[in-house]
This record gives sequence, structure tokens and C-alpha cells, in this order.
Amino acid sequence: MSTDGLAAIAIRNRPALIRFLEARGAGVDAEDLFQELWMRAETVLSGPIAEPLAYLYRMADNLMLDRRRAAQRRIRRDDQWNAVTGGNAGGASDQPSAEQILLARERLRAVDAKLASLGERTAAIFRRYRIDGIRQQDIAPEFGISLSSVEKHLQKAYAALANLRASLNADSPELRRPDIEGTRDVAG
Amino acid sequence: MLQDETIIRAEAAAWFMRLRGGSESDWIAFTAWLEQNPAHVSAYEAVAETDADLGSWLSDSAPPAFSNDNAHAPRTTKYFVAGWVAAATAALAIGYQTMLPSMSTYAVETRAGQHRAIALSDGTRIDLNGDTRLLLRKGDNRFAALDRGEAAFTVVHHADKPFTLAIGNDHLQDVGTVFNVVRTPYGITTEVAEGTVLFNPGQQAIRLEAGKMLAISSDGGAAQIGDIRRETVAAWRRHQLVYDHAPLSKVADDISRNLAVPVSIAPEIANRMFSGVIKLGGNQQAFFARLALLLDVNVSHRKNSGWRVASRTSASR
Repeated sequence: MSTDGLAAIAIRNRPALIRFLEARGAGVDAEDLFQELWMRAETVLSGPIAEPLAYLYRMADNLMLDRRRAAQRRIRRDDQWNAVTGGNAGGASDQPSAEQILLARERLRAVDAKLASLGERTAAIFRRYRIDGIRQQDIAPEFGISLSSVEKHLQKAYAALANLRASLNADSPELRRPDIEGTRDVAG
Repeated sequence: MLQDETIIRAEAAAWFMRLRGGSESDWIAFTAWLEQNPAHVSAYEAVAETDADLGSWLSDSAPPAFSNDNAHAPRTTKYFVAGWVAAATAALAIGYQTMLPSMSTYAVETRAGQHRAIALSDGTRIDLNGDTRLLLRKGDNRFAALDRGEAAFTVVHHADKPFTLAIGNDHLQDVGTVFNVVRTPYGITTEVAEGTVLFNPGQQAIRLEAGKMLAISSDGGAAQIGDIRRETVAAWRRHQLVYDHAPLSKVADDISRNLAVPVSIAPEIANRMFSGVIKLGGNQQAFFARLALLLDVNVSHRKNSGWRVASRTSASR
């Protein structure tokens, strides 16, 4: 019963979804990823989904994002393995190390400064959206502006933060250079 | 060139925002944009990863539960990010599911003026009025959460597994029921047409029988219980609004939700009571002209703020 849902729609729209996966950077793996998408769609129980095809696209998009982040995690773990003997090379650590905490705070401070440079309003709207998890529709009346203005503020913030991220990564191609000694006492 | 990169990133950010609630055609257009230029993929990825990074920085920056006090985090850093960390901790407590697309919960949404019926696999039916957002769980057809708007529930009762509706921090539990719920920023109104509903079972456990309504305002005021006519519950499904001593502010709210137009009401008549039936439909001009006669008010239209309902005397200055 549940097979006649999302999975069936995925099969029907296979060419479009594969085309999307290819364009999204899957390259020759697009077919494999479609299989994975289809299998995930199978496990989604039937039920009302507002726009099933849009939902499948979103699943495919998330799949690509997950894939890329998993690859990055692997690289980082190897780095860490080389740099910190006896670090959490097993990779199964949920608790961030002291280093990670410092790095995260450092990054957030940069994010904060970047947002501040965009103006108070943009910064406030971005925080409401990304940190407080308030939907755009609800942010609009809060600030007395239209939905499309909210979207513009958010676009501006995301674009600026993506630029920031690019420049941070350019400064330190290896995100995790553990030059902070003596803080390892917190690490598990 | 650096300039180009910046422009492309801005476009990518626009796509990223648009796709949050993107329709099928948005995704097809997005595919075409990606195909235009290989730099587009990396720019989009940069934006998506910025978003994901924020999530992990926020969760990393929150101090671990067993952290010793002597970790030397520079004070200045602490000061700057204090707000973020507090927010992150709160966000984690609420759960990221509410902010990020999650696999287990999904939203069904209607635009203002749009009606939509949902059939759950156990036979339970949910009718959504316009401008409504309802969350459902995959694999669990005994749960729904009303995020906003109005919905009528026709619940198939299972004694061992009651249907629960979450409305913010409040819960309704059915005992074999047809009921209607409205959630606005000002509060919650529940009307029961058939069966019984338990409001916040386990806490106040208010029992609402058929023919009763419960109104709770979000400013923390006392709950009000009143009588209603059962046949009027969720009359919006038949394109009519039925009232028995309802304040005009509620009438305006309902009309706005049903017709997808902003309707505001002058404060001096917001609490005036109305009893009667308002038939929706026809063109808007005619509808509001009829409404003015019916409510004995002055109704005017402004280009930017929609329809305004005011007292006849104040409008005729």
C-alpha cells in the first residue's frame, strides 16, 4: 500500500530527478543516488504530502548535501588522527572537543560581525529565522514588512555568510589546525 | 573573477531561500540554473553548507554537559557569542526538527482562501481551512499539530490509541469526535460537534462534550467554556460562517482566512457581538457590500491594507 506513493512518483519522474542529481554535482553517481532516493521514498509511509515531487527534489538535495558532508567529515577525522594522537579517531564522539568548541565560537563571532555589518534589521531577521526557527511568514508581521522583503533580507545574509565562509576557508584551507595546546583536558 | 563569484553566490542564496518552500516548477528552474554554469553548483553548495555549518557551530559552541570549569575559553569570545550559545541551547532543547526539514514530520499547508481535505489511513479526516499549517508524522496517524489556522477533525476513535492534536503547548485528545480548532496569535478556540474532546489530558483535563466550545487566549487569561449549536461547527466547509454572539474581531478574522484578503476592524467595534449566518462566495465587492448591510457597519477598501470594517458613524464623519 505504501509502495504506491512517493516511490511510484519517483519512478515516474526518474529522468527529471536524475537530471537534477547530475546538475547538482552527482556526475556519474546520479543513477546510484537515484536508487538510494527511491529506496528512501519506499520507506516513507504513505500519507498526505503537499507536493510529492517537490518533496522528492528536496530529498535528493538533502542526499547530495549529506553525501558531501560525510566526505568532509572523513577528511577531518583523518586530519585529526594525524594531528592529535589518541583523539577521537573512532569518530563516534558526540561531545565536541574543546578545540571544536573554540573553533565554533570563533566562527560564530565572525558570523556575528558579518551580520552586524549588514545592518541591524538584516541581522535580527536572520537570527529570528535561523536561530529561533521562526518561519518567514511569521517574521514578516513581526517586523512590519512584506514576505518578499523578509526573503530579501535572508538572501542578503546567506550570500554574505557564504562569502565569509569562502574567505575563512581561503585563509585556512585546513579548517582544523589544532594549534591550541593545553585545552585538550576537556576532550573525552 | 571575485566580482562574479559574489554575484553568483547572491543568486545561489536566492535559490536557497526560494527552494525552502519550492514547488515542482521551482526545482525544474533550479536544475536549469545549475546546468547553465558549473560555478553555480559550487556556489549553491557553499550557501547550503554555510547553513549546515551554522547548525554544527551552534551545537558545538554550547558547552558540553560535563565540561570542566577551567577550560580556557577567551573571555571576549564568550562575550560575543553568549547570545548565540544561549539561542543554540534553546534551539536544541526545542529540537531542530522544527527548523530543519525532517524526515519524520511533514507539514501540510494551505494558502489563504484555499480548502484542503486530508484522509489519514485509519479513516480519520482532516479539513484544512485557508492559511493553515498542520504538521503530521509519518507512520503515526494518531497525531497532528496545528501550527496555525483552522482545521476540522473527523476522528475515527480507537479506545487504546486516542488521537492527539497538539496546539503549541496544549493538547486535545479525542474520544470519538468531530471537532474544529482555530489557532491565531491571540489564542485557541475549539468547538465540538460530536463525541467528546479532552483538553490537556493529565493536566487541567477539561472535558468538552458535543455542543460545547472552549476559548483560551494566548495572554494567559482564564479558559472560557460556552455553548454552541452543533450544526454550526466547521460551517466554513459549506462556505458559510455561522455565529452566535461572536465578536466582530473574530468575524473579520474568519472572513480574512476564508477569502484570502486582509480584513481589519476598527477597535471601537471589535468587541461588538454578531449572531447570524454569513454566506461566503460571489465577487468580493458584492460580498463586502452585503456584509456591510448585514453587520450594520461601514466597509471600505484600500489598495495596500485590504478591507476595513469600521463603525458607520465614525466613517461618515
